[in-house]
Amino acid sequence: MATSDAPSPRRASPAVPIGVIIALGAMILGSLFSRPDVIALGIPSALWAGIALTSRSPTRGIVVRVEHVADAGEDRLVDEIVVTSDAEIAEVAVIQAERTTRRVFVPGSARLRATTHPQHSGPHVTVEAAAREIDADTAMLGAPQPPVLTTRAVRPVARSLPRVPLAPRLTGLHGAHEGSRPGQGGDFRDIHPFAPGDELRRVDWKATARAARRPGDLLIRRTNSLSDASAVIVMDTADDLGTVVAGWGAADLTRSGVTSLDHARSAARSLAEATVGMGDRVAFHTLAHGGRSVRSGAGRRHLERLIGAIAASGRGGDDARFRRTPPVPHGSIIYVLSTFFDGAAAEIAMRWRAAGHRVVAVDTLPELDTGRLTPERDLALQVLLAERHDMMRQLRESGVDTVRWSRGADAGLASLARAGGSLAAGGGRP
Amino acid sequence: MKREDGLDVGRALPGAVLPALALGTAVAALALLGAPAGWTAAAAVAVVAGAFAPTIGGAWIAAAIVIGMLLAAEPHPGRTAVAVAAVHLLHVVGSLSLVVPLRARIALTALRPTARRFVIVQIVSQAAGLAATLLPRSEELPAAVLAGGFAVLAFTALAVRMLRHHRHQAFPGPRPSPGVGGPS
Repeated sequence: MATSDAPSPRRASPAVPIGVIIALGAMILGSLFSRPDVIALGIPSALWAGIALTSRSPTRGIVVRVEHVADAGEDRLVDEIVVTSDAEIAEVAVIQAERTTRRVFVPGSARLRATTHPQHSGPHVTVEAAAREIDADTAMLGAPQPPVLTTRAVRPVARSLPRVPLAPRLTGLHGAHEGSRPGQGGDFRDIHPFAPGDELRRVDWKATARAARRPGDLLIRRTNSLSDASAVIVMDTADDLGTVVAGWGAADLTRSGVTSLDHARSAARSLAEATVGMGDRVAFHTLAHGGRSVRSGAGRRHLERLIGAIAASGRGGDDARFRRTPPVPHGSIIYVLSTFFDGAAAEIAMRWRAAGHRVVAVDTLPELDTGRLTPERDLALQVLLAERHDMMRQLRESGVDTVRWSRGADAGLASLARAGGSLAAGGGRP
Repeated sequence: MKREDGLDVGRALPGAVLPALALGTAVAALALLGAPAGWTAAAAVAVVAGAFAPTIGGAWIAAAIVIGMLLAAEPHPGRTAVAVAAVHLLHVVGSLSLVVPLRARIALTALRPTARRFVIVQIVSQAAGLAATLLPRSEELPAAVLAGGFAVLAFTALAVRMLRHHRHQAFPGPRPSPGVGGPS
């Protein structure tokens, strides 16, 4: 809840001296022409000015608050602007979603309901409101108060991912994946001589009768343990490029179409839900310095934390070009979500791959609309895309899997999952 | 984009109603006063121009024309009542128009104090106007009229003096975004 509260010095509007002039003029004209009825014309203006000047007493100021209201639906954000003052009228200027400006005049104490339809996921300034007091038919004007703004995080759309790649190394004795350690919950592993610590209920009497070499030998059935995997979702927030290339470089996202950060947030949420759904652990980081991080965890509550952090991740600031390298658990699968235009994210992805992690580069660049581009800008775009193509090729050559989110990412990830199954089974199991 | 965002303030009027009201008041009052068509047209043009450039003060120009038309005609209680109501209404609407932009919205409940004050001032002013029309006319300036005139003059001087101290506040510096109090 955002609040603005400040003392309110007031001033007279130009209408007050005009009222005085009308009263004076009527009096002079009426006197000169000996017309009492004309003098009477000045009475309302004189009374009006008198009322205005006597209502000039200082007030306790105007308070503007913005309160969140339960959203009416997925695509609507509702805020309530609460104005409180002693004034007769409050002038309220509202900017909604940084695109729609309105000025309204309401009673001194009022509640306004602002409804916004977000076009993008992520953090939004849904309402920015400033107000001032007005008294005596706008004769007395209060000072404008500093604006109050409220930011809401819009959750990205989640795609259903039936299969996602598995981490190369499984950890722990609980989870949903078949591990290689002896334990409980997994499939049959082997028949093994009884040893201290083994449970008696695991004794396989048929195997003991068939294969025991000496009287008193017992054989037990051993099973594999169930283990979980760790995934790390890393989002590059340096760029927020829309479908409309002609709009790149402009801060206006109203005509940009779907942006790369929309895709990145959607991919991050989808991967998080799919991974948590398999019982695995997920961590989330943004690459910008001071960016958001959610430590590795599992379960529904952790998923809610993840989605909240993903929805609150917006475009990085001016220093977003200088990336950090977040810590990742050993043997994790790392999803790097980026447009891979400037090479920093690709470099970090290749570094992780060289360290033995499984890395999936999720390309979040949307399908491009190159209309209305000048020949110069079109040429510049071709050069950029050629460099990016080269970058993606380097990633693949260094062993990083690549998936483009806007082109059937679910099928691509399922394909990687099938290909990665042998990797997980053959390589790095504990 | 505007259709996608909504701001509910209850029952409200668009700001364009104010200049429309001023136009209707000026034309109706001048018609009732029997003003020549030229003056009526001049008042209408002033009000319409004032709707787009409020600093012109179109409503007050129309009020001045109303005063002039009353002065040009013989005293009559009906005409005086019409002029008193029209000049007052034009002044109130002109004052509101200085602050309320055409595209703004005014909640009806916000205009309730204005309406109440208008009625009270009108009751006093109409009574005074009726009394003034019943006074005997004289070619010389009666002492009561002169005393009243000087009283209004003294009141004006006092008001101007009070305003002078706060004149610099009438033109504040840069407005904070999103900017209330800007030009209407």
